[in-house]
Amino acid sequence: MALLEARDIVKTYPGVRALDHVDFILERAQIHALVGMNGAGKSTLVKIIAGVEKPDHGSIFLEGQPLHLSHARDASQYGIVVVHQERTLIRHLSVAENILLGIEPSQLGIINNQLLRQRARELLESLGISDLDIDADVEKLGAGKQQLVDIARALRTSPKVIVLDEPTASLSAGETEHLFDTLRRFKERGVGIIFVSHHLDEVFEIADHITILRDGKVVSTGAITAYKPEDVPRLIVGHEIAETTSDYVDATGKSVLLEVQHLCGEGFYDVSLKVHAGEVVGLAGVVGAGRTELLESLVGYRDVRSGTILIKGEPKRIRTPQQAIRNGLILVPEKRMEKGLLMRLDVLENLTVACLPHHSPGGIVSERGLRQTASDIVKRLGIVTPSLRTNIGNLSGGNKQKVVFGKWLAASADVQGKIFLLDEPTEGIDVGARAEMWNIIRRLAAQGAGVVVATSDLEELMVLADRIYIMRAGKMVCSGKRPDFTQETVLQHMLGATETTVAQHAL
Amino acid sequence: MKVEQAPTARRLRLPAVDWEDFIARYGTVLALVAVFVAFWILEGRFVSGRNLLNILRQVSTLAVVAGGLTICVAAGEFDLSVGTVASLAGILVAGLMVRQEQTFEVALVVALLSGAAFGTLFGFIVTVFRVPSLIATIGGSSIALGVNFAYAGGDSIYGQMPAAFKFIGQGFVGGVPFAVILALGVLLIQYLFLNKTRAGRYVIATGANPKAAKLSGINTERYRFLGLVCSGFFAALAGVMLTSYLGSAQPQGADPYTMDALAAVFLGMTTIKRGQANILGTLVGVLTLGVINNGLNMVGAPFYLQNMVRGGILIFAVLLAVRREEIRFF
Repeated sequence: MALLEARDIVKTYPGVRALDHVDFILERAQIHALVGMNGAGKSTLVKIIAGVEKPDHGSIFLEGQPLHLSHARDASQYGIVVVHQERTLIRHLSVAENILLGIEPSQLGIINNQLLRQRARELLESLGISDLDIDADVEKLGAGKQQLVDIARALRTSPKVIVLDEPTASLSAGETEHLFDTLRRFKERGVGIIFVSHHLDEVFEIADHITILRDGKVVSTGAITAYKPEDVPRLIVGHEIAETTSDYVDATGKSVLLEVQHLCGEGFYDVSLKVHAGEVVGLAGVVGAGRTELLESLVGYRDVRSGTILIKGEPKRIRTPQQAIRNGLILVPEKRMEKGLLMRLDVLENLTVACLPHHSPGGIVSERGLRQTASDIVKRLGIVTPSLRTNIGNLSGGNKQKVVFGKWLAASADVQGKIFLLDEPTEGIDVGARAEMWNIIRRLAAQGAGVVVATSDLEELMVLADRIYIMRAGKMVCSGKRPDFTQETVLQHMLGATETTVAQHAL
Repeated sequence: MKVEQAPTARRLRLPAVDWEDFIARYGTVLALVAVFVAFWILEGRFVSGRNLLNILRQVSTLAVVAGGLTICVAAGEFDLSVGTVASLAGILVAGLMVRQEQTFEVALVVALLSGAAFGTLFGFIVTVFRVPSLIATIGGSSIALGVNFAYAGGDSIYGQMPAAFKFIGQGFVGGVPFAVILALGVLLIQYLFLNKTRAGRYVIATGANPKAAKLSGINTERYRFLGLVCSGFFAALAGVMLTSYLGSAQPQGADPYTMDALAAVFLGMTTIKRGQANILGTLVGVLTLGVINNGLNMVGAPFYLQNMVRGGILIFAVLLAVRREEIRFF
C-alpha cells in the first residue's frame, strides 16, 4: 500500500486546467522529485496534498484511507507537513521560540524558557543542524539559516509526509548539503518526501523517484535511475531546448554607458564598475551579497551615501527612479510580485505603465496607442495570455516576468545607449521561458544597450555575461572577462573560498 | 426557413458564460436590484417617478463625497475625515454669507478651498512625514471639528441666503433636481480622470503596488497627495450642497458621510473592477445605500434601523472583499 496516493486529480481555475487527471504515488522511505515548468501544475498538486485547495475531481489517499482535507491544518494533523518557499518566521523572536511556536512548554501559561531552549536544542540535534544559535533573533540570521529554522519547525511533529517546495532557493551549497542530510535521515525512518525543484542537479543527487508534469498532465514517472540527466529537460519542456550559447563579445572598446566609482550605500561599500554599449555584464554573488542594494541605489530607489555615478561620461545625481529613467537607466527589479507587478490590474495596464507619457498627449490617455503598444510587446516577447485584459495574477511566472520586462521595451522606442539593470531576471521561471529571456537579453545588447544581469544562477551567468563582476558581503571582490572564469572559480569567489585572487582581474 | 433556424443559430453563438465569475463581478449589482425589487413588493409607492427622483436627490450629496474618496482609496490611502471636512465647509459657506455678508461666490470658493486645504495638509503629513493616512485623517477629522466649533461656536447657522446658492440643492432643471445633475457631472469628471488621464492611471498604479509604481518611474508621493486633496475637495463640495439643500448649516450635519462614503467605496470595490476602488462601483454602492435608506423609510421602519443597516453594510462589504482577497488590510 502506498504511503500517499493522489488518484485522478482534476483542478480547473478560470481559463486554465491546472491538473488534468493526475495520478501520483509516494511510497514510504522515498524521496520523490516533482518537476515541471512553471504552470505545469506542481504548485497546484502540492496545494491539494496540503489541503490548501480542493480538487474538482479525484481523491487523496493516505495509507489507503481517503483523506478529506478542507484546511491546511487538517493535513498536518494527518502527518503531512509542507515547507513553503516563503519564510513564515516571527520577527523579534529567537530561533528556539520560532521552532516551538505554539507548543511552548509552560506552566499556568508562563513559558518555561529553560525547557524551551533545551527542547529546541534537542530537536535541532535530531535534525543534524548544528550551527544554529538557538538564542539568536531570527531577523538577524541570513536567508539560508532562516530557512533551516522554518524547516526545523515543520519537522518538529515527526511527520509521515514532507513536502518541500523549492527548498534550496535561498540556501548556500553547504546549507543545501545539510538539508539533504536531514532529508536522508527522515527517509531512513520511513518518511515519504515530495521534493519540488527547478534544479535538476539536486534532483539527481537526492531523489529516488521522479514525476514530470507538463500542462497539468504526468508526462513521465519512474525510478530516477531510469533517467539520464540530459533527457529530463526535454521531457519537461516537450521539445528541444533552444541552445543559447552566446559568443563572447568584447565591447570594452566601445563607449562606456555607465561608470560607477567608489559607490557606498546600505549593504554595499566602495563599489566600482563599468558598462559598455553592446555588452552584458554579469553581477554574481550569493543572496545578501549586496547586488540588489547596489542596483536599486543606482536608480535612486535607495539612497547612495557617497561615490560617483557617470552616465555616458557625465556625473549624475540620481535620487528617484524617474530621474534614472530620464537618464536611460532602467531597473527590472527582483521579486516581480513584490516590486514589479501591479497586482489586480490587467496585462495591458502593466505593460503600459512606464510608457504612458508617450501615449497621453495633453495628459489624456490614448487607449488605441496603449493597446497597440501592448499587443506589439506581447507578440515580440511571446507572452502567453488569453487577452490583454486578463488579470496579471492569472499569468504563469515566466509570462509575468516577461510583462515586468516588457513594460520597459514599451517605454523605449530605441534601446541603443540605454542601460538595463536586470535583477534575477529568470528567478523561478521554467527552463523554456528562461532560454527565451536569455535570447531577449542578448538581443538588447546586440542592439547597442548596456545590460547588467545580477544572478545567482551560475549557468545563466556563464551563458549571458561578457564580463563578470563578483560581489561578496557588500564588496566587489573580483571582475574579469567571462572566458577567464569557470563556474567553479566564480563560485569560489562568491563564497569567499579564495582570498588571494581578490581584484586580481580588475579592469 | 429563417425562422426555423434562428433558435439553433442563436444558441450556438451564445458565448460560454462563466457564471461564477459573473456572479462575483456583478453580485453587488444584483443585490442592489434585489433590494430594489423587495421594497417594490413591500411598498408599491416605492417605485413612483417622484420617489425615484427623490432617491437620486437624497444620494447626490453622498455620491460627490464617495466619488472623491474613491480617488483617494484608488491611490492606496484612506480618508476618515470626509464627514467632518464636509461639515466644516457647510458651516463656512453659510457663515460667510450670513454672518460676514460675503457674496455667494466668495463663500463658495472659501468653503471649497477649506476642503482642499485639509487634503493638502494630510498630503504633507502622509507623504513627507510618512504618517499613515488612516491616522493622519482621524486626527485631522478632530481638528476640522475643532475649527468648525471655533468658527461657529457649535451653533447652527440660519439666515437669508442668495437664490443662486439655494439653487444648488433645491433647484430643478427640466424637472430633475439640479443636485442630481451636479452629482452626475462630478462623477463623470471623476470617472474620466481616473480612467482616461495619465494622472488617473498613475493614481491607480500607485494604489495597486506603490513599490512597482515607483520603480516604473511614477512619483508615487505626488499621486497619493493628489488622492487626499481630491477627497478633501469633493467632501467640501458635498458640504456646500447639503447646506444649500437644508437652507441652513448644522455644525455636525455632514459627519455621517465618513462612514456612508467608506461603505459605498468598499461596496464598489466588490463589483465592476473587483479589488479596485472605481467610480462605477462606488455609484452602485451609493445607490444601494440610498435605496435601502429610502426603502426603510417608506415601509415605516424605525429610524435607528437605518444606522444599524448602514453599519452592517460597511462591515459586510469589507467582509466580502476580504474573503475574496480583493482588499488586504495591513
